[in-house]
Amino acid sequence: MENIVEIKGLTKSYLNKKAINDLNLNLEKGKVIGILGPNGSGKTTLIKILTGILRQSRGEVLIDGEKPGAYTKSIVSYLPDRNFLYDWMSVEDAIEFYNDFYEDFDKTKAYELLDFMKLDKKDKVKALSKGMHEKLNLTLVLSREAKLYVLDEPIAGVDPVARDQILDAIIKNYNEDSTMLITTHLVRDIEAVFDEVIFLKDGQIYMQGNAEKLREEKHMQIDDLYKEIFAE
Amino acid sequence: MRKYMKYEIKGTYKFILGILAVVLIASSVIQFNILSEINTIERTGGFASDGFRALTLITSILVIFGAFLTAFFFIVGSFRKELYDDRGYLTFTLPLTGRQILGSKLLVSLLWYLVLGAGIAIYNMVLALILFENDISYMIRTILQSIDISFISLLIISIVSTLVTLILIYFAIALSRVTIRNKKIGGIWFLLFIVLNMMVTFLTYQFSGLLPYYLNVSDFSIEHIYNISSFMMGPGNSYSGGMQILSNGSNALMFIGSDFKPYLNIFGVLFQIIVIVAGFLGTGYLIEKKIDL
Repeated sequence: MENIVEIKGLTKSYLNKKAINDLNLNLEKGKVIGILGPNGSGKTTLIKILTGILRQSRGEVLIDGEKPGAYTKSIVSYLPDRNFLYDWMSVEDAIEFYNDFYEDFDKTKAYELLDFMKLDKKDKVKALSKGMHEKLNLTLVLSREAKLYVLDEPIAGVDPVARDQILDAIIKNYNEDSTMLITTHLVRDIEAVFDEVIFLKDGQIYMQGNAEKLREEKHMQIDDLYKEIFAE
Repeated sequence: MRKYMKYEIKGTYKFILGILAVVLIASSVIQFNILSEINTIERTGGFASDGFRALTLITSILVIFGAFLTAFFFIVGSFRKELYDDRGYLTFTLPLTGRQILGSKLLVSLLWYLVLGAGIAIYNMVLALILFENDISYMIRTILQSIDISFISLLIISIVSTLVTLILIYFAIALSRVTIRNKKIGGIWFLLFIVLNMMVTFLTYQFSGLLPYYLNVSDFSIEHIYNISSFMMGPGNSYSGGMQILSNGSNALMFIGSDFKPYLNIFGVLFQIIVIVAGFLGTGYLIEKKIDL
């Protein structure tokens, strides 16, 4: 199967600390992949390098055969773990903005998702609660027909109702031709959607595999496996 | 790039129009003050400025100065925010190159400077003519007459100088962002900008002085400073009777000669253009290849 992401010998150092340490990873097209690990394991660093907002110290990263740049940004739909929309925007402005910049953006789908998320297009971005913000960000990201979706902690810090709504939206709107990369430390809530999981520890891959096979082999849920690996 | 400029304008126009309104109100206060001062002088034959009028005049001047400073820091801040605030996560994941983002920011900043400059100049000119002149056709003629080759040369020099300042600020911000990760000492960009600006000013001065060839903008002839001064003032005389712009002494980037023709220092202006291009490429490289959000 063809790879959408190819990473060779990737290292990212900050002074004397290595956030990512000689990481090798290939991600196949058409899968939902969970990148799991506690805070500081290197999840966000890896994602930032893939989305082109952080430069590696060493190694090579290819997305759809290209180094991170303007092209890869046009095929990667990224949900950061923060409120990244401009303060002056309304929900409607944000949709127009995405529609203007991303050729793969589906405006009709965006408005359907807004309804599903119970968001008002006239609302100001600045006035949204954390949960509403997360829903709007996800609406924008999922309304693209991207080759690679990168969701950084999509359900962190939102209430259980919003969490279910967000997970529903992810499952319903996932396009099988694309690859979805989701980082989380809230494994229990989200593990059902993963085809594959990658456990990151100290900037390296500790374990990687098919989610179903790992459950069978280890006789436990991914969430329990996570606790076992990171309990030490 | 046009799309990004559209959103840059959309995100900043309210603030800029607010600044423009404040400056226009303050400059109206100044002009009305002057008018009432003239009326008082005509009526009484002497100065009779009362404390309140003097106070409003000083306040208005301070307001204009403050508004310009605010506009300057707002424009600078809009670039700084991209590198230090969460909005950078949106801007730098757009399918645009670093140069496209930088170019858009630069052009929109320049546009705002021109809008503010032109808006304030035209408003004040019209208001002054309304207050002090009654003849509308004379008023329009006066405005049109002021747009001549000297005015256009001055406009070009002002645009070049504004671009140099902006690009040096952007470069200083980008360089301090990629070298110092600590947000708290992010203000180091200002020191860096001061140093870079001093260097560019010094080198412009040196180039202008070492190669004092001037372009006569009215007929595109190239003259050595000695020739300009000799035909303007007579051999051996100083040419300082001309109005010098943006520098002192023989190193001026532009001056209006005693013959009322505008002269541009070729190598000085060329050096400034090189600084703009180098600054643009350097900053574009930093935000494309070195930025770590």
